[in-house]
Amino acid sequence: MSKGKINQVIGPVVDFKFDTGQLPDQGHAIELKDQQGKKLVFEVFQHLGDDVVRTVAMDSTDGLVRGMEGSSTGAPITVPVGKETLGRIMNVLGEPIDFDGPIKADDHLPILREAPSFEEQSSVTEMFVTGIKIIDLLAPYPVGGKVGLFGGAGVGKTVLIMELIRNIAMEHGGYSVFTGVGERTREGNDLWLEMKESGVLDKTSLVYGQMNEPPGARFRVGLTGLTQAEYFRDQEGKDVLLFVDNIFRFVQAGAEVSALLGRMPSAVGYQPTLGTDLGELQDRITSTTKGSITSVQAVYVPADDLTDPAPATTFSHLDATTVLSRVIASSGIYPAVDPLDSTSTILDPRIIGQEHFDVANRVKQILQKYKELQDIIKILGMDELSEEDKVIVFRARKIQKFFSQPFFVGEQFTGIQGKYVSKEDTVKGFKGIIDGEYDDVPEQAFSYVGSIEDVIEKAKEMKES
Amino acid sequence: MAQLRDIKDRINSVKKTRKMTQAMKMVSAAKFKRFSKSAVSSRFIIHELDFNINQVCSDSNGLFDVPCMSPVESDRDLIIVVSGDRGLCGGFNSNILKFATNYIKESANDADLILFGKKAMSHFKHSKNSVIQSFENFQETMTIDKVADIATDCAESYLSGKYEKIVLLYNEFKSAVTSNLISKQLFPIRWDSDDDCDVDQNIIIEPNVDDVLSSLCQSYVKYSLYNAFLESSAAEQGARMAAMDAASGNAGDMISDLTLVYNRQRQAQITTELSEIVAGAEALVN
Repeated sequence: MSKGKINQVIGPVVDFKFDTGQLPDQGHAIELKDQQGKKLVFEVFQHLGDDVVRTVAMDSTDGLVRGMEGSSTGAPITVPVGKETLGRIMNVLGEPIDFDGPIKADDHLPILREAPSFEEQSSVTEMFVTGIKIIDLLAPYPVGGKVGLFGGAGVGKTVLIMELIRNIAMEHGGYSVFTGVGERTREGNDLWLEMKESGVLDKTSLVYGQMNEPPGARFRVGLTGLTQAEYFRDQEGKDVLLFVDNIFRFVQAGAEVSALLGRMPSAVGYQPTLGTDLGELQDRITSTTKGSITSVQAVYVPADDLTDPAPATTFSHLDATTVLSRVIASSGIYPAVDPLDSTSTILDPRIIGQEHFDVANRVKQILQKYKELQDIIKILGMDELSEEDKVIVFRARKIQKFFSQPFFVGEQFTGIQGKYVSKEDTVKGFKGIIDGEYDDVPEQAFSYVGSIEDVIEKAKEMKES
Repeated sequence: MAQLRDIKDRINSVKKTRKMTQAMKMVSAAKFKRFSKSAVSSRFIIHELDFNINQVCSDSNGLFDVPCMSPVESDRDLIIVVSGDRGLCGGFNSNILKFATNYIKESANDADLILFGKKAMSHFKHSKNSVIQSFENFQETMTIDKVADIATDCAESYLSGKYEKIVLLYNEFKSAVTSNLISKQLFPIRWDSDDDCDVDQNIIIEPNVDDVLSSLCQSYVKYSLYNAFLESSAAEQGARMAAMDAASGNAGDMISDLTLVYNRQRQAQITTELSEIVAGAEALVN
């Protein structure tokens, strides 16, 4: 193995000088033992000339000094994969961080790999039922597809992804991979405990590079998690669920090291390689003829601006997008999914069925009309609306309330038991509202219930009390 | 970039709306003055007629035989509804129409309708009640002669025994912002014997009670109708004035909210651009 010496340290970016002709390749790992004997790993990002390579550290570079010697491993960062990783928590390097001893896996894979070729990919024709009304109705998730949950700070992305894990990972029965990228460390802990309690932990591998980690780790941990999922897909032919919270942190970590690597910042201060960085990650998350990866990715939206380059670039990679809106969250409706901004490529009568398609479209029309009427209501008041418009407004308000749903993961906060609603019940309920069957049911009965039967029951209770 | 322009467009459209509501408010303020004056002065006639009918009736101790005061056996009512021709006047139209609908629903008899105002016409277009007559733009065209014709028509249909009663529903103007919903029975005309204790005992009725009463009744119906139109018009203009005032206020609030958003976004955009230029220039130097 060739050895090199540190000749510059700027935060997470470290330069090594190698002997002539001994340079490690781009993307290869360099290992170094510091004075305390702790192992530190770097990934080669640039060849600067004069036998110097520029690398990004996967852990804190505190205590490094010029002249320290590191050795190239001759390969990219390689992580353990396979059944042995299930039930375990690992970091970006594939090292266990759950104090449960080493991971004794037979197989190891490098985290930098090629995306599946075009002919290996399979197309999507089936709907993935989540049990969440608004998602199943207006932005249904495809099996083996990629889904994004977009939302600003504190509108409930993580809660929604946790609920999805509860509803689908726990009923799915197959393997799942959860990757925590740059989010709260506490949330990682909560998820681990919850999975342990519900018994799905032994079918899940958890990969964490949370906000306490340096940018190098946050930039690469997504690939580590993805490599796990790829192994299950390619070697074992499984249908895998991949959850990533939060893709934006991956972009952010890239931006943090980008300037230190000497790249000129691009729009809004992002790295000029934003599209490539994201594309390399997203293109690998796909379903092949061997197996499928259904991925749900949370995407933070800075300053609630969906046109920001990070979320805007992410949009184009996804099959379904669920947009969470602050306006809806502040009116007390959770999940705060924006019914008009959220979309799905499988909202197609050939996949979801004619009835579902029609109901979804009519619901969108009513909500759109309500949105248009809102200015009139605001200025002139409800009295000026025609009778037909008034009916639309009342139905739209009921639909909005009916979009709210109690979550299983929120039980301890709301005190309301979570509800799983089947697709048939969802479509039936909304069809009833738009057909005017429930025009005489008071609006409040529609909030935080499951199916339409619950609405009628709640209305009865309200009448009695 | 596009978002900023969208907000600007919205601000402009709300500003235009506000201009319109302000103009409408001023127009209806002028009309309100006119209508409220004539409404108030017309009340005097109704009051006097009411007083006279009561007095004559009490004087004759109910011993009279006037067809328009004697009850009729029938299962139909005739209901006259006075609404407005135009919207943008708050709850004015919807209140009177809701009142009329409830009145019809609660009454045991079937109802035929005479409608004044486009709003009432479109509201009752699909109802099962038959509309005998309807008038639009009555505020501009109504004269006392036309009202007299309508009153005669009503009297005739009552005397023919078709209707058990004929009722007039309208908005009575109270002040610029408030109005009362009134239901007034035109046929058979009611009188209160115990009303007005100071009945002049020395009253001399010529040529006889019946003739005097029926002539009084005729005037009463005619002027009641005319008064209802005036009251309703005054109430409509008042309601419009209040509604447009509120709308102008709401539009103003919306403009200031939108302007705030606009300025914030503009500033954010400038800051972003500045920092990008500075960072770019800095990167070039190094």
